[in-house]
Amino acid sequence: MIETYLILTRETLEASLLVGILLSTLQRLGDKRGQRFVVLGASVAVFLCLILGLLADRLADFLSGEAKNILDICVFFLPAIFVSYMVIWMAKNGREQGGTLRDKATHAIKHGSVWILVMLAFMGVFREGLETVLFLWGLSLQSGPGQAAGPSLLAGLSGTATGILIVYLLFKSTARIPIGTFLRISSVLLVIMAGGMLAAGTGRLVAMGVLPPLIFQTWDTSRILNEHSYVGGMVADFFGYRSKPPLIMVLTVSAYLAGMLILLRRAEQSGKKPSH
Amino acid sequence: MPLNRLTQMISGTLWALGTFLILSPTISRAEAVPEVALTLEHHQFSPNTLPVEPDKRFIIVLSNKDNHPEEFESYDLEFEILVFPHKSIRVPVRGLPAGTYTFFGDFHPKTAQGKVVVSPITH
Repeated sequence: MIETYLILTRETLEASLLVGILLSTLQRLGDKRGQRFVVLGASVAVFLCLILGLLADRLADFLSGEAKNILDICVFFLPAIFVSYMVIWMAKNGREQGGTLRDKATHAIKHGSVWILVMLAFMGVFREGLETVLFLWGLSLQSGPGQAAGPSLLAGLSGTATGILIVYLLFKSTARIPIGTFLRISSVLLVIMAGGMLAAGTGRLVAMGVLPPLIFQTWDTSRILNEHSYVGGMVADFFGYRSKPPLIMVLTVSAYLAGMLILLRRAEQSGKKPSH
Repeated sequence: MPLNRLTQMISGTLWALGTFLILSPTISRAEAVPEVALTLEHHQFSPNTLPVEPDKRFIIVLSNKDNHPEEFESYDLEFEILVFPHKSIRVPVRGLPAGTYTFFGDFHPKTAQGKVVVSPITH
């Protein structure tokens, strides 16, 4: 019962964290319209997950098949690209010297990048959301003779509610952090998450034999932090932590983080110049 | 507008990825790959240890006998595949160096645990 609760809390946290970051960032930028597009993307994802959950029996072959695997890989790589683009854009336009907002900033979100917000929110919710729905569906199947589904389904649903509540409270509580600091923290968080998505995507391509691992297990830190622990599992799913990563994954993520650091520096500098 | 460059970047990535993904299964179908049977029942794997040879590809064929979906997952082997109640899935695994690789059911991680053990060939 407790296990069911904890698993669904985690799955829901994973599904809603990116949306939480997006919504609170746009909130701080004062972009109501952007927020609506994020909510739109997330809602479409939830809706689609529910539909797929209802049709799960008939879609089993698709949801366990090769097409789903390819979809997964896209859902690792595409958000990583979108998130990176957004973070660089935020560094360029998000704040002026001293941390006050520029009108241009929200203006650009309104006209250029809304589709990125919709896609990001959608993909952030879709994958983990589907798992959550299917897990709950599985619980509802348990009502065999002598086994009532009610209590475990209730545990599952309250787990889902807890996950959403945690994300909500987490980002409510950031309201007092000064905007400059807030944007910096959310940018770092987003870049690390994107790095994690790249790690997971790279790992998947290595497993499929598409990419060479170079060294299959470069090191082993499973004694320090194991993916099979509750915390380790979360770090693995949020930030792409692997205790035994292949070398190509280490190289890809390092190159990405180094590249982002350079691009962000440059973007911030160009952002500090007076606009014309 | 940098948005154009982004679109180019994305479509480039997608093309490369798509070509790879379409080609890679065709390559792998060329030779017969041994299958390893695995059963999930009462949220437990049996057998929970799969011995395989080093550097040889294989396919795990997992049958779910439970009335509950499971997510068959491994960080060591990098897969994450849903298996529906009373269905089976085929999970191709690349050739592995000697070692132990754990897998688990993400929906019941306490009970659904197992490992692939690759031992070096002794002559």
